[in-house]
Amino acid sequence: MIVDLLMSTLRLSVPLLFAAYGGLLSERSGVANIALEANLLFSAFTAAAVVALSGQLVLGVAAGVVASALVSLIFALICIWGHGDQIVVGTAFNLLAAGLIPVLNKALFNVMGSTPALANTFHQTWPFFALALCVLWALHFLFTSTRHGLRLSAAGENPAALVNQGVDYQRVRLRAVVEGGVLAGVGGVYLSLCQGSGYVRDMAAGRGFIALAAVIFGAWKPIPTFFACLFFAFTDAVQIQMQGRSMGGVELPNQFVQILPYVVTLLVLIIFARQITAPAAINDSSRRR
Amino acid sequence: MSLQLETVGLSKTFAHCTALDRVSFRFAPGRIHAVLGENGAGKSTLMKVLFGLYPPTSGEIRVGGEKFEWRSAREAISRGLGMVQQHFTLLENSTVIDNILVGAEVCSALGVLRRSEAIAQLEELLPMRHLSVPWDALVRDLSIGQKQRVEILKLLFRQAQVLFLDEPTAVLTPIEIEEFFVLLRKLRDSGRTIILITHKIGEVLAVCDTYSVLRQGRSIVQGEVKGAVAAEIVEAMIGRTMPDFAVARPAVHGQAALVTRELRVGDAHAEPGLSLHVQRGEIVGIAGVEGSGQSELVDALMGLREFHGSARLFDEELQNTSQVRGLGVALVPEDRLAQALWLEESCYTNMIIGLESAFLKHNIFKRAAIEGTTAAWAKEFDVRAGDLLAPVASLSGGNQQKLVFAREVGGRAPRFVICHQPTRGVDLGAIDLLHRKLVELRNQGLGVLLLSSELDELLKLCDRIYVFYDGQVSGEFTRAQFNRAQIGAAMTGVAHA
Amino acid sequence: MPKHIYVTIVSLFIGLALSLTLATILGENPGHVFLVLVRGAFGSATDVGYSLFYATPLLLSGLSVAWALQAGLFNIGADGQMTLGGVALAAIGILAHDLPMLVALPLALTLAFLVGGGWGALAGWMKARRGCHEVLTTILLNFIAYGLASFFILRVFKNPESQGPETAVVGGGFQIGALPQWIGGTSPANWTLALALCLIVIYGFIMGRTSLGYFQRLAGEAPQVAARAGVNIGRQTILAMFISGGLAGLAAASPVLGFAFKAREGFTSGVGFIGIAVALLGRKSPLGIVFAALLFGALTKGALELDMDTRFVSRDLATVIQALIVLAVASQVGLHNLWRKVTS
Repeated sequence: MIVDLLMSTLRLSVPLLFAAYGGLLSERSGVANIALEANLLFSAFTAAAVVALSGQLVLGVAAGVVASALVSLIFALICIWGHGDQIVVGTAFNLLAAGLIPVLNKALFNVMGSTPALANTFHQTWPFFALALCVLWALHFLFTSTRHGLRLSAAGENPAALVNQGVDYQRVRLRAVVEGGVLAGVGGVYLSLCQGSGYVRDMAAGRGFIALAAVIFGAWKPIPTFFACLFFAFTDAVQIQMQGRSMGGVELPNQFVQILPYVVTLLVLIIFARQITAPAAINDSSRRR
Repeated sequence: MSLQLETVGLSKTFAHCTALDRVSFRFAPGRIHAVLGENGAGKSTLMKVLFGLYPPTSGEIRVGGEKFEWRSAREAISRGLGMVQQHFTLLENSTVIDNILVGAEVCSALGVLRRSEAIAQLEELLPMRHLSVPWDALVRDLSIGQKQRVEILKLLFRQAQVLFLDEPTAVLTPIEIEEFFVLLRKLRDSGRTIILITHKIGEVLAVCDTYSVLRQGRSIVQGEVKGAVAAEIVEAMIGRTMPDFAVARPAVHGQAALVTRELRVGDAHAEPGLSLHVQRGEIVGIAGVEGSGQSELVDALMGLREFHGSARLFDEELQNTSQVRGLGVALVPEDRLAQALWLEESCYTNMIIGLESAFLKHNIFKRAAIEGTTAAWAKEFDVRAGDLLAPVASLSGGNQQKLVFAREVGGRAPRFVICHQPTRGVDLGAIDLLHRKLVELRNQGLGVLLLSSELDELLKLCDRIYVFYDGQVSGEFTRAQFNRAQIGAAMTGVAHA
Repeated sequence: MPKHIYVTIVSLFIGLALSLTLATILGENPGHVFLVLVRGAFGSATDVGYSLFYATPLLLSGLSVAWALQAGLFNIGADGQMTLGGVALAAIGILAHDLPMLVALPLALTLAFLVGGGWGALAGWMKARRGCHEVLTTILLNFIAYGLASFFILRVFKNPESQGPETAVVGGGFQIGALPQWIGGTSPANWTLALALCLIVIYGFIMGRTSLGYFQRLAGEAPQVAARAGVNIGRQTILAMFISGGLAGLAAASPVLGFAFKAREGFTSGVGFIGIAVALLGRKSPLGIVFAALLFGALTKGALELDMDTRFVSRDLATVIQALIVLAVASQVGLHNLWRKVTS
């Protein structure tokens, strides 16, 4: 049972990890990104739809990642050059995902809600998890040892430091958000092509937001964020194991079990939010001067 | 490579105002130039236009006799220009070396940083050993003087030949200022052009070779410092002679107003804590470099931060903001725009903040009463707003500050006044009025606590001065003991007996 | 014409144009889609009534989001607050089944306000006392609210005679009457609409003239100034989230007490989220909220017909249009700059 629980944790951690990596890149560059949920949904849907239409798994993966990158690109353009409030724009993207995906789904498959179930999916979690570990190392290296990482942190902490050097910090942010979109896209693809077999309405189920909480819990640093994701995935695994079981002879209502990950996330925020400081320039496009 | 920088008829207009109006100055290499002017005269705008952050509306900039049109700061940097802004643009959570590198990284083709190579370059570049700072230290752990050195190192690392420095001494102690001047002279002697933006005449006379005066966006005069007279320069700056500040200050014998004992904010173990007292009829100044604990003291007294030890006002222990306000405390906070004004609202509304209950009937505002009463306050404090219904954000800095005084002093009828940097970003006319008001309040028997980083302001107004260093009192001086050198020494932590 | 009205019109146009372009790409005739939308919303008195019916909860959820915005808070939790408010309405309507209307309705509405408000105040407390950003906490609280509502609907107040996920029917005294036929035809548009409009008028008065609104706005727009004037910011934050949540709770009145007479799982149909769009498009002003809610209500009703009258698009196109309008409003500064660049 312990082994089951741990395996299940690893499986469930993959989408959280990639979404959190995406959020990390975006937020460290100064763009608050609550559109992560939309990234997950769009990439999960696109990947499933392309596989359903073409039968090609690789094509689906590529399409899912590209879709997520595109979502991030538009999100970033509206935030940066449209001077939109990042929270408002993020909310609108989540609304857009809720509307556009069913519309496209109906147009493509003439059904509401879900893509057809796919015969052809990934059966193994471990390549994705291995990739997640590699990306973790890459992010750590990015922030400690590269030019892009240095400029990205500067854009999130004090954009004036870049402006004075003649560096366009908005371009730095744009790049970071799109790179984040690519990573989050992998998480979405995993949802529909590995964890599930096809797209189901709202299948991200708030993972984008939990990933964001993990980024906060991880103090906007790669390695702590990684462990925060594992922790949240663990609570999800516990939740799944507890469903339908009775405790001391009393059956716990499933509804209470299912909300466990959200409750734990909230509790973690309540306990730790005070001690963590966000990148100083986050969501500065709309802040009062 | 030495560069002469010249502006010919340079103008910059924003949507509603002309910030620069046909400015013509010439800055020769190998010299230190002062650009002088009051707040709002256009000094910062001039610098930003020269540096390529704003495009000029008309006129031209010539470098070494050739006309140049900057398109971006990047180009200005590549032409050998460098700028240190008044507010440092440093990454507090990064190391010194990363701060120097950002934007001019030494790295491999793949973008991997080569920090040790950069450090080698830096150390080669620095003939002046005392400029070096610990490369791996985090910037947030540095002193203000060290932070400024990091900013200058950034420029030197980029081979800057023309250095713009905006109010560089505002944040330094007198001793740091002396060291800074030594550095400036060395940089000058290496052939660089140094442009110092300032409003302090003393600095100009001490270190600069030429002075250039801006007033209301126009270039008034440019001349050699050698042989110039301070009073003439001031007159060029403000367009008239300053009246003498002679306000009678009779001795007022008052009881204690504010008494603090071992007050400690934040770090409970920072012994011995602050033990201060302010009598009625006394202006007590707090001198010290910014960040020596002034903001923490004000926040603690206002009930905005928890503290250890005791703080009593009129024999009552201070607990929370509304209680402090109830005791009759007026506050002119440090950051006017964020802490004193509701920028979205009208002047009327801004004058009733904290005084709402007087204008409410059954929790509904009485508009006529607000407009009538506050207009009288505005008049008393000479707030010049075309229309008090206009948003307060449209007022000049001086008028905004007079409005804050009108509310806090005129509206509240206080018993105790806390003033934090009351004249920052305020024109000289308004400064004069605010200074007179403060002395008047003292003469009426109020206690006044005045925190300022301008030592001259404190020497002019105070009956007594405490000097802060690193969150502690490092000296106390009565008016008879006022001595610039000793106070300056105390600001750097040299205790005064 | 004031600039913001211009911005609103341009945003509406952009949102609609992009959505119709999308419909065209998917194989529809944009003129046909537009006509279906308009006819669906305004074709008959009953259609208009349905538009009003869909606008009613939007008025209240938009008001809820707007109130929080006035206090500088972004309440994304209106949907969860509304959900719990609806469960409370159904619960009291079932438990106190036989109360007469004069007692029943005030009691039920107060309870919905308190329950929604309490859920909102929880997020307010987390912000004020624990430093958690309200955007994230309200989203997480939504998921928890859905779970709790599902528990109460399926396990506690389940309708024994129904297979669907819904509660039993509330007592007659709790049922809000339909509007007269000359307004709403035979639609379920009900008197909650009048309640919502009254509350919006009161909201305008409170924000413009009273100390309550003044302190809420001061704490939201200039928190550091407010703190120095002795205003307890934390208390204002909690109060704002309480009132905002309460208004969201009331948004459940129309679907629960005015239409279904019971709480169904997912009865909000995302109204809490669209309230965000209503508040933003209406720029927090009373008239603006009314305009935006009526527009989005009509859009929701019109889009229902898309399922039947078009081959390739569905009712979800309404959500797409709403999202695009919000995006256009949010990027107005950029659009303005672009416009100046194009014209000069």
